[in-house]
Amino acid sequence: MRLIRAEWYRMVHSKIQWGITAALLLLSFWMLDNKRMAHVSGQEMLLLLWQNPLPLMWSGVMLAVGGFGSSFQERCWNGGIYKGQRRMCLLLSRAFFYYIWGLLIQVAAMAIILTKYQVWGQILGLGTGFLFPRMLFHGFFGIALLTPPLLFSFLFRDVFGSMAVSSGLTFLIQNMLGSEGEGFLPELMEHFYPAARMLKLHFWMALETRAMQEAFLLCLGYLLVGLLVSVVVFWRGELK
Amino acid sequence: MAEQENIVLEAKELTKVYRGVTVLNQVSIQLKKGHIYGFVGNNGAGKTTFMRLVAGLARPTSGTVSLFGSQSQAELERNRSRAGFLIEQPVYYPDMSVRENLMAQAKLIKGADKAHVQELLELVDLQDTGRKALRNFSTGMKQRYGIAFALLGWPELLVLDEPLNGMDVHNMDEVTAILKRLNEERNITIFLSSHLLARLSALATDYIFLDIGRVVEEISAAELREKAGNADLEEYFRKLVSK
Repeated sequence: MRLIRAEWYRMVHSKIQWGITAALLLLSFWMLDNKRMAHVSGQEMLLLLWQNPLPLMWSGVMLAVGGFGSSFQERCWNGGIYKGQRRMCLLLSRAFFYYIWGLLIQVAAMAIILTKYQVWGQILGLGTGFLFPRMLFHGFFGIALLTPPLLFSFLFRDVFGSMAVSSGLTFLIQNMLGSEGEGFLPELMEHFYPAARMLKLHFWMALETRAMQEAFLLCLGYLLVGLLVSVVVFWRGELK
Repeated sequence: MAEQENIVLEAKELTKVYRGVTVLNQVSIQLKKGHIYGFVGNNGAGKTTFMRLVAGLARPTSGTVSLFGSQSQAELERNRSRAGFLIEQPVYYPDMSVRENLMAQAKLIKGADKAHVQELLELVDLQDTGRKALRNFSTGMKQRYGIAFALLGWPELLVLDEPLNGMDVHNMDEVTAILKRLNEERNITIFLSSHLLARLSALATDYIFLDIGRVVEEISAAELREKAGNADLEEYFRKLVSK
């Protein structure tokens, strides 16, 4: 609990954190909004928003570099270790806020767009029983997308390496997503990358369908493997 | 048993090898409660490496470290909270102020609240820095912040690696006086390394000399004065490592 309180205090008082948040909110809004939005219903808009993973991917890159990569570079992890905190607990407490913050930025950007096009009535008319499980599912996808940048931050342990690899891969994926290209990489991505899976799912698809369940398992795999590798690497490695 | 209770830090045959290079070689040390230990050695002798092993930033290749009688790794990690560390450079979030940095860390410590943070800021004379981000502080001020950081929760042991780095004479006088006062009033054991041997000799009650990863001598300040005669600490150390 003390770690959670310390992390919360840090996030709320960090100017860099708020600066990144503001930039990501603008970026997310810009990426999510497009000309088609003005001509579609609330339900279709929800689908368009659901099927656009780019804001989350870029949020992950920036938040991971700001929250994890820079902490290696500035030796900020050392403070918790000096005070007897276990490395795994340090990682998990920060990861907890990283995921929540990343998802909140996404939700805020989506909420701004829905407000801009005044479709809240149509959205809420779908009913909370329909919306809530799907929002949770979407959140879970989001967590899976946010995990690779977190992992790279722990593998590279600095700002430059984390940023270079995370953003390079994100650019590559961004170009390949939805291109229906043939070849080893696009096929690999189609099967094993959550964002590519999201493009093939409909927001109002039944959660019990095989496609949804497979996607859920893939996301769970990303989360577990990403966190496990990060924990092991952090635990084994030496700090500056 | 009483003897054991007095030992705040014990290293047994501590060895650290980095890529085939032995940086620490079978170092065995015991620090007793209430003393001020000067940890002396040339650059590359292994002083910082030793402190990093104690702090948990690195793991030893072999040997053990025990803090306050810890018997297991879990107990060692828990007991670290009873010590304060300043190793190489202070730990801080560059965009946050001194107060915010200390408050963030204070959340990890039972009993450390705003009043305690204010007390520490006044101790190191940083209470009037306002909302200035720590990245904009001078090296000397950052070191003073680092000492306040290490003192959060009033630890029983302070491990300080070159705490006087980057300080002017006035600051060094103040920090030296603070450390001495903390040792006298709160019985805090202090383990510090410094190349400023004249400063160290005004503070330390005991010395541990390290050379090329090995402890070459452990001696009390009184014994050293007797042995060295007219020679100061610097001369004594020079002769010791030239043997």
